[in-house]
Amino acid sequence: MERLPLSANERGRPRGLDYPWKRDQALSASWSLALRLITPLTFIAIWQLLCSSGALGATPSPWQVLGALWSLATKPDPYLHATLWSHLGASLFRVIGGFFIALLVGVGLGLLMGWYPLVYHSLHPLVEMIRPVPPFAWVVLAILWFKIGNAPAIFIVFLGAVFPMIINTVSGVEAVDRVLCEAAATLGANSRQILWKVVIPSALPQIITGLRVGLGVAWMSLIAAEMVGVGGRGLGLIIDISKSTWKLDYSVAAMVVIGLIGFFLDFLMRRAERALLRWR
Amino acid sequence: MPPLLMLKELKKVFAATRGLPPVEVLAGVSLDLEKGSFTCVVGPSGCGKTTLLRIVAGLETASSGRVLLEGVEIEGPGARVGLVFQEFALFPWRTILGNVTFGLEVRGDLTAGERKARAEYYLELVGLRGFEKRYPREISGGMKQRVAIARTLVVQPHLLLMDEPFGSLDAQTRNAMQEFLVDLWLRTGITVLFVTHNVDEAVFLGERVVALTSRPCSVRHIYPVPLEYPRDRTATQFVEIRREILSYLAKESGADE
Ligand SMILES: Nc1ncnc2c1ncn2[C@@H]1O[C@H](COP(=O)(O)OP(=O)(O)OP(=O)(O)O)[C@@H](O)[C@H]1O
Ligand SMILES: [Mg+2]
Repeated sequence: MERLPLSANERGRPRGLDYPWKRDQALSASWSLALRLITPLTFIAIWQLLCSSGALGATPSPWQVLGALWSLATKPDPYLHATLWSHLGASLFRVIGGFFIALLVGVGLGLLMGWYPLVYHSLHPLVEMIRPVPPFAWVVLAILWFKIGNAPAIFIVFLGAVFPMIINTVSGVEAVDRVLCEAAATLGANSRQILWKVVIPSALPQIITGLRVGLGVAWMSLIAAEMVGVGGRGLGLIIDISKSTWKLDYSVAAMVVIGLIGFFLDFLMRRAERALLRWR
Repeated sequence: MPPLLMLKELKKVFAATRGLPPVEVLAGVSLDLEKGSFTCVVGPSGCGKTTLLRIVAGLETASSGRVLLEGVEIEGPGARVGLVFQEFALFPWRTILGNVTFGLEVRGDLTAGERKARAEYYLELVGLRGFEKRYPREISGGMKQRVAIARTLVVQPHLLLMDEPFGSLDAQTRNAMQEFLVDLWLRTGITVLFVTHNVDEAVFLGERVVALTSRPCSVRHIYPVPLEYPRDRTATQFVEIRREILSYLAKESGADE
């Protein structure tokens, strides 16, 4: 039999590397770490070069931002009334508090809506009408109801987080395999047990996706709300005040912290996801 | 003693939906199962075998007729009637052990230790000791089906329903599973109602083979299989019974088209 000519793939690397769904196994730990560091470092290097060359005008350079971070972290700025840590602490407290309230409400409602048609039909129109309103648009009402402080900020976080959680939980429940519910029923499970022992675990991957997306939206909404002074403190406020005092380096420093915290929060969620979905 | 299961003139019509006409599936199925018996059901594809099992399992309600288990009408699914699904239906987020303990957990009368011990006994029975900590995706199709059987047996159902449980297995695994099932049945004495497409399988397993007509189905003929276990597929009598049922089915599905 005549041998077919080898394709580029067959001649070159081992075949295993060619399958994108084998992403995790394909790269060695050190190689993937290197890749993960290289892009951000290159980004910072280009940024620094552009600043040094004067192409970006008054844009603070990475080096200046580092300096700004240092001074924010070490001495309370007279306009900001506190150090970076205090503002960071406030933002974190709000995002975590609001996230957990949203988790209880969002996953709870999502399960009820997905499982009981009655609840679904009663709540779906309301949910779908409130959902498109950006959490930020609620700022005025939030201040009216909760005054200035943590409470309105947590309310905004809640609004940002709760809808992705509801939507994902509902579709997770809707996608539960009917056969698994029937199998549970023939093993003697009642409907409450089917909900807890079949529906929730089945829907868990999608519930967790909802939590992840919700946390991301909540973090962005919180910063936006803090920028108009909802919290009286917070990372968003640093950006707002630095704008009036023309401290661009403080603004960018706050942006960097916001980005890093956002990354860190998502990292925690991915960890939780991996731990909870070991069976996959 | 009265039969363990009595089906009396079971009829089932699926109501019209989405502009589709109603489907009459069961046209009066009557059948008795003695306690401890092994009954196989064969019939043309789409005649209503799955529907029949689902009604007996309480997952579907009959349009008319009665299903009596130990003289009492079946009202919804429960642990007294175990059903082994064709598609295994294991819980993918639970380990093998977790799958088998499920029915004991929901019953709630045993401690975790007792549940584990009992599940391990049944895993031993189906030859799966050592796989307790695996997840369903980590084991083969034949092993999955044995887990499904152990999961059903652990709650000690009075009646075991099996819907083409070996349909998706390769020929070798299938034969091994049939031998395993006969052995299990001989040891446990459980009453089995086994649905299959495969006449060879039916004659190998059943004390009797119930042949259904095409849809809407009813019982056409009951073939006794007076052969000792374990059976020899090449024995003259085996081949004879098999041929008889096959020619009936060929006629029946021909009439359908
Ligand atoms: N929920 C339903 N609604 C309407 N028709 C249905 C429903 N379930 C089954 N049917 C119809 O009932 C008939 C019998 O279905 P069933 O699954 O019981 O057949 P079966 O004998 O198990 O077939 P097979 O041997 O292919 O597994 C089929 O024609 C099917 O289309
Ligand atoms: Mg079927």
